[in-house]
Amino acid sequence: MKLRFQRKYLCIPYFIFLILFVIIPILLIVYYAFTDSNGFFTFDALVNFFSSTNKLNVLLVSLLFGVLNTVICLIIGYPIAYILANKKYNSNYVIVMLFVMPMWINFVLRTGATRDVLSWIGLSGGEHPYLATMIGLVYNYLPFVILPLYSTMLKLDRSQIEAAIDLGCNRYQVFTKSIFPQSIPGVISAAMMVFMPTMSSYVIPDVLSEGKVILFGNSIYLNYSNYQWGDGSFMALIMLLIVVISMLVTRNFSEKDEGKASTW
Amino acid sequence: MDEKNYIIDLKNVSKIFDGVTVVDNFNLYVKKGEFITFLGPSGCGKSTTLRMIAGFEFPSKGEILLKGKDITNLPPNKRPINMVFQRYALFPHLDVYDNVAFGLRLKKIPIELKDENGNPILKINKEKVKQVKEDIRHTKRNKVLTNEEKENKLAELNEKLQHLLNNPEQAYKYRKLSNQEIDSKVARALKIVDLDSLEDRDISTLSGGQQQRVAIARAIVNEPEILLLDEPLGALDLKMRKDMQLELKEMHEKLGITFIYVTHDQEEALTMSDTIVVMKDGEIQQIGTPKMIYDEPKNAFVADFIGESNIFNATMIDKLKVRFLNTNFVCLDDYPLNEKVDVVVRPEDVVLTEVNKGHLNGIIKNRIFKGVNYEYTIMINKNELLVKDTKEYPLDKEVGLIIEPNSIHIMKKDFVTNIYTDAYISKDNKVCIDDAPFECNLTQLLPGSFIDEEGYLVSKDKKKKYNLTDALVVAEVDINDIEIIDNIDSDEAKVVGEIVDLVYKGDHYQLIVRTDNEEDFVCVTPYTYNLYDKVGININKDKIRLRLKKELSEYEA
Repeated sequence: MKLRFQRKYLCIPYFIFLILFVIIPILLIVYYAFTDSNGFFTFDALVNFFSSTNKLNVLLVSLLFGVLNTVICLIIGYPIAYILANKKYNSNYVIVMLFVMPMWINFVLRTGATRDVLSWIGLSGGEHPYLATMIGLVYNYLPFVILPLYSTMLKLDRSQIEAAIDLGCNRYQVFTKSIFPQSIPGVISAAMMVFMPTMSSYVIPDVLSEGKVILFGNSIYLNYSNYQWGDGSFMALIMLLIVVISMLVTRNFSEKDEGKASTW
Repeated sequence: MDEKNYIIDLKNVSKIFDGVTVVDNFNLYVKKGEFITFLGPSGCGKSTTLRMIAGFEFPSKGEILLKGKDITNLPPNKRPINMVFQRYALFPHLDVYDNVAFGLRLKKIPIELKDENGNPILKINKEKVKQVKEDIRHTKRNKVLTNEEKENKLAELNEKLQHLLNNPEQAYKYRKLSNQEIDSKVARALKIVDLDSLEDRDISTLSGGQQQRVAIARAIVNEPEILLLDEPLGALDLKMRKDMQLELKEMHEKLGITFIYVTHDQEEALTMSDTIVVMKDGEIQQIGTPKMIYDEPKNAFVADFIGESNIFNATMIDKLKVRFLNTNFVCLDDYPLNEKVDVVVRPEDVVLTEVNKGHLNGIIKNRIFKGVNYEYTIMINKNELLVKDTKEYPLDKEVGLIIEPNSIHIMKKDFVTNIYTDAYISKDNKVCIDDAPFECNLTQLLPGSFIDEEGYLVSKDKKKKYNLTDALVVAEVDINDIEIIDNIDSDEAKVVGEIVDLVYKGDHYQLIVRTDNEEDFVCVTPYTYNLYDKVGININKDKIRLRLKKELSEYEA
């Protein structure tokens, strides 16, 4: 039989990657999370995690950092995205570039530079670990907020703003009743882009706080580097669980908007 | 003059954007309950006028009065006027019901404040004070008014402000509409637009026509004094558009409110309006009922824009006698002897008959079947005449033409501009007037555009290219901008013609140079020429104003 080329064969390389680097690692994590060093089934890691105030504390701190970073990024990024999406400015490629360019440089390098800048202005990680970490996180994740918001706001119709004024909105109401509700899909995808990676971020808190701020990512890394495979894997599972939960939550939102939420 | 009948009154309104006059000294009053249409080609200022009535733009000069009250600088949300937008501008995050209820939820109903004894409580009206202060701010920033005009206006406003501060008025408190009130109003509005069953539908699931209806419902539910419609049917297909035209007219009768409609579609304007305002270059050309505008166009532009028409240069040769197409006709309009006039003959008013049985003869050069009738292009010497007739005639047949006196409409010739309605763009981007190519500036058709090396017109953002070869245009040249070249053999003489008319006007001559093709160039000169002198004509390329007959988008490359 002659083997005929079909378009779907083009997916094969991707599937190989998917299996090697996503499916198998997940299975390995599940395996390690529920076995001891001899390979016997055990709930030790689960008991360890929920009985250790230290680990629960790390989870709580990470959640807090995630939420705080998301909120700050949105507050800073929203007006910028709005202005950039305005026709008057978005033809100015330079401004758009300035906001996107940092994304093209490896973030480990950038974080090193951030640390030096911060200590130069007197905010060294040793003295202000939380503040320095926060600044680093906001700086790194800001472009991820601006881009999805920007692409949603490009779709905003200038005449809708006029329509809102025409129907009786004052300037403040135009924002609360027309612009903001329409940009919610962008806000959600922006929040997704920031919240999860912040929780699991490792390099930024490690470098900027000089090891004083431990987020969930750092904690998992520590466990693995101490050969506590079970504990590390279980925490990774918790991480996965949070990802799944937040995906379910946001999917509820975007279903309402019928896929209008950008994939960003 | 009883101004109370006028719902809206525009007095000497001008709008100037960056030194360009978009609307020029616009004077118009609209009676309550009228259906009025602003009609004109794109860029004629009709939308800007509408936006000034809505409050999205503020006039540079002049006043807008609503029921006699000055609303010139009032923001849109404080005007009892609602608008239906070109692309509907519905809110995609809300369903049909919430879209329609949007305005109602923002509405505040005033309740008179009274003290225990039932006497009205008086307070200084802060709203009005704020508005007068806003007016003062607008006046101070106005760059168009002269200093003197500004000072007068400011003095007037300051006086008004003092009056308001010294005279407390009835105070009000406000309440919002209750949910039941909103429910019943929304239901009624949706019933008017025939959408009563779609309350819960998402906007994105509606068809274009349904979205259009929601947009109308959203505006009329607020019970505005005036409903503004900015080319609302532009995005619909032909059949749908025709249905909506009739429905809009019906709605207008049912609601009894004033409709101000903007369109570039003359047929739409004729179908729906009580009154049509024909605009060009920010100026009103003619105001009248559809019938008046169709039957008695004031000038060649109106005649050309409204319906299909044959326009000829003509001369009054006797009392109630006019000569055009080398033939004398009896007419009903009385103009002075020897006056140069424009004559309009509608294609459906010409009757075809056998050779030599009509007023003149012509040869059928083209025939198009249009369903109801045939559209013939008939050559009479070198002139074309468009005729509509239900009978079928063969091509190249010579026929007789009857043009009755009552189908000849004579218009005073507008001697300010030469208008050439059958000009076209040649391959090398020149404009051909009377088959002679003139250098011209095509970039005027699109602000900010330029011509690239390949001869395409490129838009400012370089996203769109247009190939204008063979595009039909109307070319206009002021009489002062036509140069007379004495040496008819020089390169500068683009066309050569004979001086057929010569009028001395105190300090200059106004003369008409007629080419071999019977095209006339009206020009002025301080020098003396003799009748029947042969002269050449040249026109500076920047002085030729062009207007496409079709939309620019049809030429996109």
